[in-house]
Amino acid sequence: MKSHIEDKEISAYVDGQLGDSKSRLVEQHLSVCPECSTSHEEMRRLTKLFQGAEMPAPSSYLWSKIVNQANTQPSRKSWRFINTFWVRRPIWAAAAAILIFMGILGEHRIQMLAWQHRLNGIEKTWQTLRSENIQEDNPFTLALTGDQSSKPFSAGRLSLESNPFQSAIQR
Amino acid sequence: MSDREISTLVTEAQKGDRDAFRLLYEHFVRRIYNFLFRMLGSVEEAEDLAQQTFLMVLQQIGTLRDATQIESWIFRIARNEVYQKFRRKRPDSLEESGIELQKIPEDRFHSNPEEIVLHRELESVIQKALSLLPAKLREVFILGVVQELSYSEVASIVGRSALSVKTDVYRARCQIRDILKKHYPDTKLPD
Repeated sequence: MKSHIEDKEISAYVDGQLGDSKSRLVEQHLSVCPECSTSHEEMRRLTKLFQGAEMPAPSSYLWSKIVNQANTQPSRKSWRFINTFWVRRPIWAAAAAILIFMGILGEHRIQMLAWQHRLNGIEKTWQTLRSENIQEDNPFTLALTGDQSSKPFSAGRLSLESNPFQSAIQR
Repeated sequence: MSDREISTLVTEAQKGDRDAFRLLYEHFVRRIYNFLFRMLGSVEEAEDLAQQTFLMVLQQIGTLRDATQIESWIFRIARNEVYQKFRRKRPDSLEESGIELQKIPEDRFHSNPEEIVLHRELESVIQKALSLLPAKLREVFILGVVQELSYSEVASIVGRSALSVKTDVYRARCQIRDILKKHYPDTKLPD
C-alpha cells in the first residue's frame, strides 16, 4: 500500500462524481485498504441517512396561489422585452446608450448657443443705450458730475422745468 | 419525464401555454420545495418562497435561452429567494445562517404512531445538523448529496467552480459527521 486516497476523492466517489477510470482505481484501493474503506463506509451511510429522509411536500393549493398572484400582478411584457432584446444584444444596448448620450449633449450645446445669441443681443442693446445715455440731460450722468443742484433727486430739482426726468418724459 | 419532453414543455410554456407550465411545475415543485425547506427549516417559509420562485419562473420563462437548463435555472431562482430572505432576516445570516427549526406536520407522511415518533426524531436530527452548517456548505450539501445533482450542475446553481463544490461537499460531510457525533451520538446510521 503506497498511499491512501484523499477523503475528498472518496466523498466525490460516494456521490458518483468521479469518472469511470478514477472510480475503478478507488474501488481497487478500497478493496485492499481498511482505513480508506472505513472512511468510505462512514460517508456512504451518512449520505444514506440524508437521502433516505422523506421529502416534505408542498400544500395542494400552492399552484392556485401562484396562478392567482400571477393574474393579479400587472403585465411585465415591457420588462420582458427589455430582458429579451437588450440583455441579449449588449453591443446594441451600448450603441443606443451612446446615441442617447450624444443626443442629450447635442441638445445641450444647441441650448447654450441660443443663450449665447440672446446674451449677445442684450449686450448690444445695453451698449447702444449706454452710448445714448451719455448726454447732458441724462439724469444719471448729471448725478455723477458732483454738482448737488443738478442731482435729479435734490430739492432744487423738484420743479417741473428743471426735473431731468420730466424733460425726458416730455421729449 | 425525459429531457426532451421537458424541453418541449419549456418551449410551449414560453409561448404562453399555461398547461405546459403546470406540468413543469408539477415535475419540479417537490425538489424545489425540499431544497427550500432544508435551507430554511420552516414549512411556512419554504411554501412562501416556493410560491415566489414559481411566480418568477412563470414571468421570466421567456428569457430562458437553453431549455435543457430549466432545472438549474429554477434552482438558481430559488437560491436567490433564500439569500434574499436571509438578508431580510439578519445581516449575518449568510455566514452563520442559524435557522429556527420547525417540525413538519407528522400527519403529512405517517399515520402509525411509532413511525411518527421515529420519523420525527430522524427529521429533527437531519434538520438540526443542516441548520448548524454555514449556508455556503449547506446549499452544496443539499444540492449535491441530498438532491443528487452533479457537481457541475451544483456549480452552475451556486456560481462556483465544480472543484470548489467538490471541496465544499467534502467539508460539509465532515462537519455533519462531527455535529452528529457531538449532538446526536446515538443516531444510528443506516446500513
